[in-house]
Formats: sequence, C-alpha cells, structure tokens
Amino acid sequence: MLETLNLAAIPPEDEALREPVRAFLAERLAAVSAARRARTWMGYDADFTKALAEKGWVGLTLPQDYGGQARSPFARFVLIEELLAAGAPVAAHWIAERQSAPLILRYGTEEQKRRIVPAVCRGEAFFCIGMSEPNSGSDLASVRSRADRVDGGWKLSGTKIWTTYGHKAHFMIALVRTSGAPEDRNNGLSQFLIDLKAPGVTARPIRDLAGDEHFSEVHFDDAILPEDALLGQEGAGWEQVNAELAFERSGPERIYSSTVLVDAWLDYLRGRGNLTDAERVLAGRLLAELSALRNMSLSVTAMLAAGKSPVVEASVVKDLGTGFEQSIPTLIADHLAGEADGVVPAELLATVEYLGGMCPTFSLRGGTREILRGIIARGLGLR
Amino acid sequence: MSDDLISEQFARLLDGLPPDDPWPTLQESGFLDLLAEASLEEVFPLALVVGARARAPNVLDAMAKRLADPVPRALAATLAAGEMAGALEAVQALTVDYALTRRQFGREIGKFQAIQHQIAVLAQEVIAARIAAQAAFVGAPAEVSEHRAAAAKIRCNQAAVRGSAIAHAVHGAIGVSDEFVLHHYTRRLRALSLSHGGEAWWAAKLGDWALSEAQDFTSLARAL
Ligand SMILES: Cc1cc2nc3c(=O)[nH]c(=O)nc-3n(C[C@H](O)[C@H](O)[C@H](O)COP(=O)(O)OP(=O)(O)OC[C@H]3O[C@@H](n4cnc5c(N)ncnc54)[C@H](O)[C@@H]3O)c2cc1C
Repeated sequence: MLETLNLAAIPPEDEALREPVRAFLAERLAAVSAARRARTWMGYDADFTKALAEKGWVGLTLPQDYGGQARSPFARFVLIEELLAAGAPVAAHWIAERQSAPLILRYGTEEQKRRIVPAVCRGEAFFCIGMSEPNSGSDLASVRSRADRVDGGWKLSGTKIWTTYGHKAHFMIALVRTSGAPEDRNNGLSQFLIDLKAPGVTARPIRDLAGDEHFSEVHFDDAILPEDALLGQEGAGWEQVNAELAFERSGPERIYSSTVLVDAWLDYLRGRGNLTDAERVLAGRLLAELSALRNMSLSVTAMLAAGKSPVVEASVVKDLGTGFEQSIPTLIADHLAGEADGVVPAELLATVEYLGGMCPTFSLRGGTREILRGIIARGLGLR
Repeated sequence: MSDDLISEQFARLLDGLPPDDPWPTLQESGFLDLLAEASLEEVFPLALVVGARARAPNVLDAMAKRLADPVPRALAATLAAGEMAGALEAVQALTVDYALTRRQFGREIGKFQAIQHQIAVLAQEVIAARIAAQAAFVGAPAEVSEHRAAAAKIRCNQAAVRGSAIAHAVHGAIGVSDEFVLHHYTRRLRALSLSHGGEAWWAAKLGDWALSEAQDFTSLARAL
C-alpha cells in the first residue's frame, strides 16, 4: 500500500552534522570545476573516499560493532544531501555504503560481516552491483549467469553489464542462477559476494557519450569461487536482490543530480544582474519543485527511521525526482541560449552540455520509470 | 480534542449542512472563528476536508475573512493550496475506483499498463501537492510565510493541471457529464489555481527572493 507522506523534520542532533560536512567539502572541492562536480555520484576518487571515511562519514548508519557510527537515517540524509549538492566524487564507496554493506549485514555470515563491513567503513572496500546482463535489464529475473557447485566451492560463468565501476571495485554482489533454467524466473537464483581479483574474472570499462568510463562489462569465465562466496541462502536470491533494491532506491540521491548546474546558473544570474521575469519564474518553479521533493524524501527517511520498508513511497520519490533532475538541463539551456555569444562562462556551458547528454540515465539507473510506475500501481491496488 | 477528532467533527458538519443556506449553521458551529485561535498545523486537516467535498461552500475564505479583511494573499494562497491537496486526494480515489470497475476489452481498464502508469503519475502529483501544502501550514495564520505560500501554491497548481488531466483521461466521456462528480473537483481545482496568484505570479516572487539571497539552491529549499 501507498502510505500518505507527512512532513518530517530533521532532528537537531542530525542537522548538526551539516556544518562540519559543508566545511570539509568547501575545502576539498574548492578547485574542482562545476562540470566535473556535475558527475556527483558517478565521480570516482578513492582519496576523497578515504578522507571522508577518516571523518567517520562512510557507513554512518551502520552498527558500531562493524565500524559504523550507528547514526539515524536522518543523519545520512544530511550527509548525502550535502555531498550531492556540492557534487562530491563519491562513486568509489557509494554502492558499498548504500546497499552492499547493509545487505551483507542482513544476510551474511558473521565471518563475511567481520571481513567486509569494517573495511567498507574505512573506505577501503569498494563494491559494484552485478544485476544487469546483456539480455536482462528490467527483466532481472531472466539472468543467465550461472554458478555450479564444484569441489570446495562454485564455478561461475556469464556476463554482467553496465556495472558501475566494475573495473575498479574490489567486490561485486551478483545475482546468478544456481539451479533450473531462465524459464524458472525468480526460483533458483542466488547472490554471491565475489572478489573481483579471482582468476577467470575480467572487467572492461564501457565509455559513455561524455567520454567517461564509469560502467563496465564483467566476464566470468569459469571463475572458481570459494564456498563462502555464497551470500545468504542458496535459492533466496530473488528475495535478497529485492531487499538490495530497496536499499538502493530509498535514499535521497534521486533529486540532486542537477543541483550543481542550478547553482552555477543562479550564480551566473546574480553576477550578471538585470534579471528578467522569465528567469525569476524559472528559478521560483525549480525551487518549489525541489522543496516538495525534499520534503517527500525526508518523509521516506522518517519511515526508514521508524523501521518501515517504504518501497512504494521510495519509488514515488525516485520517479518524480528523476523527472525533475532531467528537466533542469533543458530548461536552463533554453534560457542560456538567449544570451549573447561569448557571455556565458565556459564552465557553465560545459555543465549544461554534460548534464544535457547524460540526464536520460537518471531514470534508467536503479530501475526504469516504467518499472517504478508498475510498483506504484501495485501499491495503489491496480495490479 | 485531538486533530483527528476535530477534523471528523468538521467533516460531519460539512456533510450535514442545509444545502440552501449553509451559513447560519456554519456560524453557530464556531469553526469560522478558528483561524483566530488555531495554528496552521491544526487547520491543515480541515483544509483537506473541505477540498475532499465536491460541493462544500467557501468555508476557508470565510474563515480567513474573519481574521483579516482583505485577506493577505499569502494566507489565502496557503489555504487554497490545502484545499487543492484535499481535492486532488479525492480525485485520485475516484480515479482508482473507476479504473477498478470500468471494463473494456473484457477486463478492468486499470489492468492496462498505460492506465496504471498514468494513475501512478497522478498519485505522485497528489503526494507532492499534499506535502507542499502541508509545508506552508506552519505557525500562526496571521504570520504565514510568503515564501512557503509561494512554494505550496506553485506545486499545487502544477499538480492540479497534471492530475486533473489524467483523471479526466482515465474517466473517458463520463468524466465530463454533469451527473458525474469528477467535474466538480476539477472545476474547483481550476478556480483555486487561478485564485490568490497563479503559478507564474508566485514563481516570479519566489525566484526573486532566491536570486537575491546569496545562498545555494539546497539551502534555499531548507530555508523555506
Ligand atoms: C548510468 C547507469 C549505471 C548503471 N549501473 C548499473 C550497475 O551498477 N549494475 C547493474 O546491474 N546495472 C546497472 N545499470 C543498468 C540498469 O539497471 C538498466 O539500464 C535498467 O535496469 C534497464 O535495463 P536496460 O537498460 O536493459 O533496458 P530494458 O530493460 O531493455 O528497457 C528498455 C525500455 O523498455 C522498457 N520496458 C522494459 N520492460 C518493460 C515492461 N515490462 N513494461 C513496460 N516497459 C518496459 C524500459 O522501461 C525501458 O524504457 C546502469 C545503467 C545506467 C544507465
């Protein structure tokens, strides 16, 4: 069921995290261009992650026993909001912190938890997501990668694709078939915690339209995995991957991807002066939309803090939020197109150009718009 | 009395009003003087109740006039946003209900993915409108924030346009028949959209503030 989203306030002790994070980011990012910062969670910088971890800001909500800070989801909201609004290069640890470590804590053995989670919190263990395959995108249950039992472990073959930083991460959590055939759909799937250094594993980056290399293709060519590479229960992969997707989708990162651009544009207008009414109207509209989305995301955060699993509500925020992020580059570009030649700073133009090209991905990564609307329709009782 | 009980009592009052002359009953109820004592947080559920009733008299306007006449535009816009959120919730309920009962091609139209996805978007707009309105219902009615009112009215106006269009599309021809209730809501949504400042008017005001403050975009949203 779709619950009503009510206004939620950030508790003062969590809000207090904001100033130190802002100060840290102002210093670290002072020399980074807006176009570079516009990559936000696609920007990879292991040194940045290490510095963040030294502050205790990787694994903020994870238990202290495993190296985390045991802070509330509201503290994580504040941290993430600041990181994304500033355009910090968080990709190295992003997936590990958001979904892999929480998933291991939920389904892993004590040994797996001890081995992995503290290293994630130290900013030393980076993860990638092994869901999509060349023939399995939205239809995730149709994956064909396959692991078979062999003496002392598992033998894995298949291909994962669009794997964000698969060529740089240390580990992958992969959804693969361990019994039956693709027609068996969500039965016979399992999740594996794969050390990407294992023999038989190769990863090749795929260049995107902006010339960046974030996602990749990962091959498993009869890779031999140890017994304890299995994560959770054999055959429970479908349930587990849905729990992983719930971690992936419920954070506040689906509304801020174009924030660096908005700030660059607002700064440009403030510097230029002579505002037109059309510019004021656009600024006001964007602010009203952000405000509503931010309050929606905070409301989802409150549900997480109350121990609920707001899957449908998070889908609402993601679908509406990515639509908002995607609308911004075109709207701002259209305004800039009216300026005289040579007036608009090159950095602002580069930021518009980058986001204009890449914004279609906002509503693909983490599940497409159509998949999310299906989830919402089910929440409304239509399916 | 808890907020829930007050809004239940208020709903019963509205539902039992004599249709020919509702005002004496409303006056006796004491509700019209509510804005002088209550906080906007307490008024928000009542605004939703008014919005959810297709043929309710202009109770919120009457309440506001008792507080100040002429009513400050920010207060009027805030109350309108709350009423619009309530109307949109009712429109969503009607639309889901209709999609689950109307059958074509041998099944409920709500089983078609194209319809499901449109209604999913409607639900998103309703949620956004409701929380945007709620965010403006803060503090004493006489001191309502102009920037919050702006953000609420802008977002509710957007939702009214998008949501009404979807509701009418899903309802087919019956949605524009006089007998069917939908048009009472969508007419009221259009009227409220155009009352107390439209989207562009409020957006220019909010944008003017945003551009005059030396703050980043996210901080501006937090400051609302
Ligand atoms: C930047 C980026 C990073 C990514 N990172 C990762 C990662 O780290 N790990 C990973 O596993 N994957 C990753 N992905 C892949 C992503 O999860 C998929 O792109 C997504 O699930 C969609 O799959 P697809 O691209 O194969 O499109 P398809 O599933 O082929 O979809 C194409 C179109 O058809 C529509 N469609 C499909 N099925 C239906 C249906 N039943 N009803 C209606 N419409 C339908 C889709 O909505 C879409 O519009 C990433 C993608 C991007 C763009």
